Amino acid sequence: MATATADVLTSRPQNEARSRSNRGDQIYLAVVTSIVWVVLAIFAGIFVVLVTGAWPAFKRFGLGFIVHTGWDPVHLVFGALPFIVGTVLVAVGAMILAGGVGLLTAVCVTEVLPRWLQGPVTWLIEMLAFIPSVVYGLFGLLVLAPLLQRTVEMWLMIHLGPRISFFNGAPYGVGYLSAIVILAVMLLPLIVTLSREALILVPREIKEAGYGLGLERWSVVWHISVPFARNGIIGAFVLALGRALGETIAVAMTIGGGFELPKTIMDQGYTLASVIANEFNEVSSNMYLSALIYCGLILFVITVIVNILAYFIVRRLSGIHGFKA
Amino acid sequence: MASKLRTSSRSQKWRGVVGFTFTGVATLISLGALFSILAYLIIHGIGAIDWNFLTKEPAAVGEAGGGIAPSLLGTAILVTISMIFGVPLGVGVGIYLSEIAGETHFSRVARVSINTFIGVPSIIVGVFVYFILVKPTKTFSAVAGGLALGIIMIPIMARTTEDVLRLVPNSIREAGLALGAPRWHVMLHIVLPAARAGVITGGILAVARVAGETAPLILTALGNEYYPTSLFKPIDEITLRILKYARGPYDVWHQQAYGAALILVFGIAIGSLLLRLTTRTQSAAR
Repeated sequence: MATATADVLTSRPQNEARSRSNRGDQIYLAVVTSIVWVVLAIFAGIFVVLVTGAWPAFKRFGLGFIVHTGWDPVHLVFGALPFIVGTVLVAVGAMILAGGVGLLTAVCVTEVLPRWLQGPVTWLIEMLAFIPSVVYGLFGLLVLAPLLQRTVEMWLMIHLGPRISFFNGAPYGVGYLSAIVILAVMLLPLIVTLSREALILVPREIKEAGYGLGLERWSVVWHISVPFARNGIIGAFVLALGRALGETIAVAMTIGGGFELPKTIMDQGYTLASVIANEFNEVSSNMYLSALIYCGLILFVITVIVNILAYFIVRRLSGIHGFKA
Repeated sequence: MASKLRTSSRSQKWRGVVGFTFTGVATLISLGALFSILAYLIIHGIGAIDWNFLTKEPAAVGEAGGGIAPSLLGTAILVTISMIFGVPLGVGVGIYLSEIAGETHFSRVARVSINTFIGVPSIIVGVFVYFILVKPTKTFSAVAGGLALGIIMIPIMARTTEDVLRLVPNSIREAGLALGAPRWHVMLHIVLPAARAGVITGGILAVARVAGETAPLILTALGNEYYPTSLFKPIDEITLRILKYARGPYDVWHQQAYGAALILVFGIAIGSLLLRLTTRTQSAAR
């Protein structure tokens, strides 16, 4: 603590002489620095609480918890593999949908639309980010799932089902597919805004050089602008992936619930986050609770890794401050 | 590049037409998602909203009528508690990152941690508060819910505060310091007032964000059918109410869920509109 404050005092040399003798400044620095310590302590506390909460389950199942299936609250046998697979399936599925649509939308907003339309369209898509996830869940559960059941799931079952077993499921409506689609919509604003910010930064000279070489507009967009903005777009995708892995309520409302490995994309199951949300208040024993916390710990570790990755990718982009998540 | 130049200009043109059509379709899908959600909320929700809906307690299970007044009140209480926890800590961290942090290890750890903190799923924060507050006190409570929302607010608040403080030109700080003002005085009376609009904007953004949080509240505030009587008892919140009604089997509940969602989205939209206006005036002032 003392050393941190000392470091802090020297960090702005132009103020050094004045700060050293000033009591008010010492208090100011102490207050601000201790706030940072409190926040870091909360952050560390989250990890400690998760580890202690997960400890009984960890002692019983060890790391095998991660690779085992089976979820039996009566006989106290737990394995998180179905939820880990479910999390990856839902997140990757949503990323494929949202990544494609989002990137193309960002290209449209920056390169195709007339200038007067760019602002309003961007703003409308940003509005998607202000819709709370429970509202997405409501829409997913009451509107989207029945719609998918009647259309896409029916089609998949009849036309692809006989050949590809992954699509050969009963169209329940709620299930992995509904969760994937609703999650994709939630990721759109993040991907569109961040990709757009990266595309805007492409210098005009580089594009003009492309035109000068006789390239058509699309070639300039696809072979020059998008590759140039690559780092920013990757950063956007990683941030969106972090969000997708942790999204809870909308997924919990649309994924149906189930404790087995997904066999088809129409099955009902859980992700790590949604199993905690749906089962937490149903726990019947301490071991069950501990197994859920263990799921939370796995989720925490995964999202922290993804977000640290995203932070460094986005920061490498340049010295960038306006670049928000 | 040479190989691309060699492609005949006709195939290039076709690829362009197809490519741009795809981008247009993608944009229509994105906008369509927004409009269909809003349309459903308005069409199904507007009928549920009347004076009773805003002022009454929920009706008995499955019966028509009744309102969401306890949820609205609970939301206000939870957001207030969350601001008590979240705003000072968030602004403090923002001040640190913008004004004080240097190239020390501690600064670097703080910066990475805050940026990682933003991405931690909110349900994890709910688990944390459950163990430090709900389990020891043996009851779900408004305080626990507010604390969870406050913790979620901290990194959002910190990030926006840092960003707006960086917009304040250094010459202003130097002018203050040159007049002999101590750093805290410059911060409190010059820099913060200059960035006031932006900090308030950040606050609105953070409130809009936590007002829509549900996952951590399942583990902390739990929900309640009645008006809140104590900060140390379970309390209702609008998203918990939407969750309950959406999952219920009754059409009345579904309609009320749409109504409550419409109110929530409307509230947040107004907040974001304010946000847009204030940021615009600020950038105009620059």
